[in-house]
Amino acid sequence: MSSAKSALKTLPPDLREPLIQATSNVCETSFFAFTEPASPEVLAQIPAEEMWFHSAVTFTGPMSGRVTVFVPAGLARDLFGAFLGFDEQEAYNNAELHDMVGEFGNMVCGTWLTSLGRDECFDLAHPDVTLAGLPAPDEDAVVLAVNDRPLVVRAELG
Amino acid sequence: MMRALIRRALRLSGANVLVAEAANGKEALTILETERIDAVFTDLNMPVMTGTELLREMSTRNWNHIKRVVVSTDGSNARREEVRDLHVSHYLSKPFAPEMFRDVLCEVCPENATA
Repeated sequence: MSSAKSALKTLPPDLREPLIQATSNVCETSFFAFTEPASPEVLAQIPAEEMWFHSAVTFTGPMSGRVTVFVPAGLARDLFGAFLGFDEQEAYNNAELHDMVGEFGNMVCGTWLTSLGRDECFDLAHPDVTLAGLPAPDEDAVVLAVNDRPLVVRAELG
Repeated sequence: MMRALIRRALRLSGANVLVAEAANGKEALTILETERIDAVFTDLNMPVMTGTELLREMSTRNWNHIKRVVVSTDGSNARREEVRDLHVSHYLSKPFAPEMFRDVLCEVCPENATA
């Protein structure tokens, strides 16, 4: 969702649905969050000033590329609480929040690649997590509603 | 972060266990050299020393009395095959629900786990 297109290629349609399924699986199993497909218009629900976590995981193997998960900071905090079972009164540690978003990206990427049923192993790099603004519009990205709030996933092949 | 999740799963399971944590395989080896450990739960994708390297080292040292569980996002048959000969008793694919972790713990440490 960056404004400048990278050298990586966009995802073929037959790999897109497994990516949606993988993201939903991770959200529901580890974060106890309900996920459904959404249109890019839901991004307008997020205040322009809200920051987004960008969690990028590069992979190599039978195919290579990168999966990036974009999570609004507010949703990330709620997912973090669900992940670890914190209640709302407990203080959140920003470093742990970064780690959680990184693990989220790692699980989405790993679950997606596993679901493709390849016979060879993939190697995943450690997640690269940054805090930045709203991702730029990208028609190739997957937009989901997680607990009625938007989350964006993009996979690119190298 | 997965260590935090495992801590939570342990807490929810009511298991009577003491936990030592390591950030990578090398730190885990140091703990294994100095502490009496019954079971190791390890990710595969770690910095410094991977989980596979840790498991190989444990096998080289004949620490076969220590039970080994892999916790990984890579649930592929190829990866499972890669660690099959390294005395791994369970392979837990992420994401997993806390009760799945509890079930594995019950099998690995039955005397400490609460079903």
